[in-house]
Amino acid sequence: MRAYSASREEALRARDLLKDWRGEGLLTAEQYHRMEQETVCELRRTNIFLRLVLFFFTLIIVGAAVGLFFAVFFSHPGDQTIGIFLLIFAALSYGATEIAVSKAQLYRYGIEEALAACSVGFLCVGTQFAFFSGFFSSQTPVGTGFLVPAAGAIASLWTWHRFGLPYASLAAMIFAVWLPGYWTSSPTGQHLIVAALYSAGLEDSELCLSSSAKAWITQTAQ
Amino acid sequence: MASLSHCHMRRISCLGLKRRQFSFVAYAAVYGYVGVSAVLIRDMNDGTAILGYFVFTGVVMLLALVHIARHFGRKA
Repeated sequence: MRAYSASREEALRARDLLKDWRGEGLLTAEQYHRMEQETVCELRRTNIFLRLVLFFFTLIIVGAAVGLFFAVFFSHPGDQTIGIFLLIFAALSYGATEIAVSKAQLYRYGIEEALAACSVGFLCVGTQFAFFSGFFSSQTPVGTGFLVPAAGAIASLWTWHRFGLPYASLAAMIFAVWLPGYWTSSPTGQHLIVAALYSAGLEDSELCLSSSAKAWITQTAQ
Repeated sequence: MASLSHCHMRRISCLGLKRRQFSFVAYAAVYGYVGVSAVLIRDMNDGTAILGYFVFTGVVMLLALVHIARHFGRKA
């Protein structure tokens, strides 16, 4: 399910620790180089500043490319046409994320993160346009409006599970806050539903952590 | 103004690369790009041309930054 294997992520954490220990003077240069060679990992990372900038420019490119597509091929597209094509772009963005991770070996590089964020954004906006005729329409079918935040929450949770992006779980929580408003008008009921959803998410995270911890212990013991 | 912004961006990014301070490079890339783009697209009225500009320049900036990241960034 995870795009990155546990051993490769473990190697990255080990390298970070080695750098910290080297910086604090706990390791000599020779020890550092020897241990560094033992934790070689082919994943490609960059520093936080370039990561943010690459994220920013990837968002610009994807957003402008989608806008250009609509500007070139459609003069006055209908809401459903926009929605369907946005859903296609969501799938393309997700496919590009998978390729960036599996082929280019990008890890917290900004580019694949922006592509994943675009896929979630396109999915939500595309669902809104395709099934509910745009943002400002009053033709929203009763009882199905929750599909947009539900799609966003599920896609964010999948992104979090698949690529391990911590802010994807935060996005899922934000989407989850919107959900109960479609089901009940009672504030107490809404709070209870959000609390139940968060509890379920917490339980799920705990299960994931315990299973990965078990896998790590088994791997270390072997 | 565009050339001034461009010169400023180049000076800051060169300083960042010399001192291996990536925050300078990031700062110069984003602020320089925003400044130059604001000046260049001010007189553009065609939406397609503006979007095309963002796609083209965005790809150029991305490739340049990936090149910088490969040479100066951190490889795991």
